[in-house]
Amino acid sequence: MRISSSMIGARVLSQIASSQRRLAETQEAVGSGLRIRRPADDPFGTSQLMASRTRLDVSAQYQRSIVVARNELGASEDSLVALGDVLLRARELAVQGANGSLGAGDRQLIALEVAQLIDHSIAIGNTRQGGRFVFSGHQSSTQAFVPDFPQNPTTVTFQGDTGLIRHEIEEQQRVTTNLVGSDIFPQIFTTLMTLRDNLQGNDQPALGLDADQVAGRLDEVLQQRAKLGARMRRVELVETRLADRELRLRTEISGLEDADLAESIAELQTRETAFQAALGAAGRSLSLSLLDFLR
Amino acid sequence: MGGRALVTSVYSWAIYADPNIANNNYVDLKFVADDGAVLVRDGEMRALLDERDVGMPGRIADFDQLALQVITDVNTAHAAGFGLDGPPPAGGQNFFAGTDAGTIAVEAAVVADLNRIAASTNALGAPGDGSNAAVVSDLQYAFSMSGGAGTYDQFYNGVVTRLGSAVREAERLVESQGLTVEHLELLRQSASGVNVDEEMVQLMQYQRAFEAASRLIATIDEMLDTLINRTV
Repeated sequence: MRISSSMIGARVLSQIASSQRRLAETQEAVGSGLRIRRPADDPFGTSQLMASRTRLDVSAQYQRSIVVARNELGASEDSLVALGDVLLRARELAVQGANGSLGAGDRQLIALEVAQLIDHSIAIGNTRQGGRFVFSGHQSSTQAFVPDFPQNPTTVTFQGDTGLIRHEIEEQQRVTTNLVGSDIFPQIFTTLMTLRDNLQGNDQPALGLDADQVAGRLDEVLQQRAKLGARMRRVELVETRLADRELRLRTEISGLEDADLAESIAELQTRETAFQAALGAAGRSLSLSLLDFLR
Repeated sequence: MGGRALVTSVYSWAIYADPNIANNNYVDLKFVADDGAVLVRDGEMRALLDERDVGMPGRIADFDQLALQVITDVNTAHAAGFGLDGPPPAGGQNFFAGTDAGTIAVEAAVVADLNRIAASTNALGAPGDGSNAAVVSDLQYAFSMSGGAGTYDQFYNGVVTRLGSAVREAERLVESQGLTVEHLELLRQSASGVNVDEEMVQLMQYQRAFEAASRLIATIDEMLDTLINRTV
């Protein structure tokens, strides 16, 4: 084939350009540390990458929900612990009041302490967590329990509802984080008020029964705590699973997206050499001419 | 162009850009003389027109389809719920306004009053009830795209992957077409191009021939000189 002089120039230019383009591609990979920078770099990899990223985002949202769920479960649990303490003291007082050697005046004094316990248990029923009433069900901005007479209540009205607060902590898995106030508190208030009234009325035989009643309430509170404990354990299990999943997804994403640095750098060097060779060859072949040898 | 001449000898046929209402007011190319369409069959121009008329509208349609489905599904679920603002308007409160990817927005009424967000399924209003929000959240797992075959996410994923594949294919085509063009150019140049060395050699040949010819003339001249002037 005849080789025209302008062909040599054009050919050299196109070779240098393609060599330069390949060098720039590798440089970009090394510089950014990424193998996939736009969908066209690897369409199928991009699809997998996007799916993994979505799962990671969702997983992060669940982890945030879990923090909220733990806080709410924790608030309910703290309340029940305090309520248990109240009932323990109430049982002591009931047993003490049932003692035959006590007089009416002594029982009046005990009744005063029971009144304090009633007050305290109403306050527990109105526990707030993050500005929301824990035991009001869905009516979380409404105070759960309102006594008719703050000093000496005879009835306590429940203003909440039986709504369950649920948080999604895993794909379509929801955990309930609240206890329904009306399942726990009204019986306790009634029992404590009866105890107080019997102490004030100096009704010694009834006080023995009251002690048993209080013990029964205490059992109920323990059962509710067990319920909370089981939910808490479930949340913790999911949390561990999510942490494992996050690690797995991050590894997956890194494998898909990140450039193998050793490989990329080796390639960069190869292409740099190729580029230099192209430039060198161009320099030699372009300067060669018969003119140089004619005198 | 497209079988019609633009310029012949001293005559030219002008073309003009005619906005096409049926095609987003993108222009069609026409001849001034008879309003005949300019047929662009190939080349960079054809590629640009195809991308304008087929490629981009297809991708925009994909996004519109996704946006419309999200708007419809979220609104249906949202309208069935209740906010904290008393009774919702007849037919329920929509969450999204708009009909496609260009117009999707949160309803102005909701932006103005966040209590209109229907997170609850309780008609009486329950601040702690998020059960309708959970229904909306579950939409992300619903197979509501591609005729019930995929989720929003999978659909979007498909759109991006198709775009990536198209770009990749185009890049490969450019590369292989470029090689073809280069090769053809080489063949053409090989027939019609100039090789400086070759020309130099020929130049020298002609120079030598000229030198030889002038030497011949000089010799004849010398002979004639001898014959005329020295013959006594």
